[in-house]
Amino acid sequence: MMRFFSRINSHTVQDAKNRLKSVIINDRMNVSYDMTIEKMRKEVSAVLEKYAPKNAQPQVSVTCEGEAVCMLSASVPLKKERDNKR
Amino acid sequence: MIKYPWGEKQMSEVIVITSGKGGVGKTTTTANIGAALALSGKKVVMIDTDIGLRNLDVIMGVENRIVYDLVDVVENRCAYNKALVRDKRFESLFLLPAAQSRDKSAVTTTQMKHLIRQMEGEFDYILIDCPAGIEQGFENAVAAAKRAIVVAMPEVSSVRDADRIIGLLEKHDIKDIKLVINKLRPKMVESGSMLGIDDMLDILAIDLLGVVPDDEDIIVAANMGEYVSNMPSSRAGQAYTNIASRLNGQEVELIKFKATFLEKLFSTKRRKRA
Repeated sequence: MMRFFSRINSHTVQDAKNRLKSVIINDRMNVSYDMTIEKMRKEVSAVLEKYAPKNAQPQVSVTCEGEAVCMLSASVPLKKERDNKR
Repeated sequence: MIKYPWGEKQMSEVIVITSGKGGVGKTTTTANIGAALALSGKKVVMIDTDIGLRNLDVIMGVENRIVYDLVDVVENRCAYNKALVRDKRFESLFLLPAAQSRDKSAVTTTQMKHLIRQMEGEFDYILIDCPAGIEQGFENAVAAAKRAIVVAMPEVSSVRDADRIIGLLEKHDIKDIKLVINKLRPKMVESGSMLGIDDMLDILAIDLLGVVPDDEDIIVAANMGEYVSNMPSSRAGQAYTNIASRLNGQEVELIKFKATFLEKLFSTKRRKRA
């Protein structure tokens, strides 16, 4: 019985508040996938399509465009898109 | 003021009542604020945008008087004033009910904006009861709103969703966002088991419009299709009346909710046990 009550009361409002704050900070930092990341991916694809040599690996070409672009384009299925077009 | 060729009309206050999370009391808050505003002499229309899961009609006790609904209006089967249901107690309080046999996709944001434009000037307040969630129903509800009331309970899940909703409202360019804390239990706050008013304001960082205590009267009133804001003895009713007064621009102090002696005694015991 004592263990049951101590488990409930050991969690204070301050703990809940701290937990809530960290969850909310994380929520606020998460950009909406469909609205932002996908838009940026499309932009990256368009840049690569225009400037990268046809047989280049996406990562190699993207490095020339800058660090942020490189990070975002890591999972863009560029090679597949290119293969389909050929 | 809106200038028309035939004269001027007073702009309506278009307010959406939202929360993100379900079950926090959006519909009850809408109904009671609407009733309190009507009681203060304002002409009010409440629009239920929860298509498929309407409840505002039941809370108001007018479920048997619905002929046309929101979908009939936006699909031009009738004029909006034909679909309005007048409240039984307040002559200046109206409901535009949601359709029950359709879903949220039956209405678009353009149709909602058009409807509100038609209604503007006819009412002092247009209160839009938003459904839970952030999908089409939410988009429809906020499309034409200029102000927002976010209803949140002192619970982690409700506060988290409220924060998300505030972000989305800002994205929709709604800048006047106020918070209503609902179902507060002073006893639990005093014993340190529930987030308090300051905790919630600290996290959500928006202006407080009012605090409604957890009150059995709300359930009793809803069962009867009555408003607690029409019950002078009810603490929640008083809170809703104060919220309506603040919306009307009056300065009203927050009710000081205090735990009773027995409640304090109980909460002290719990603290000691901890």
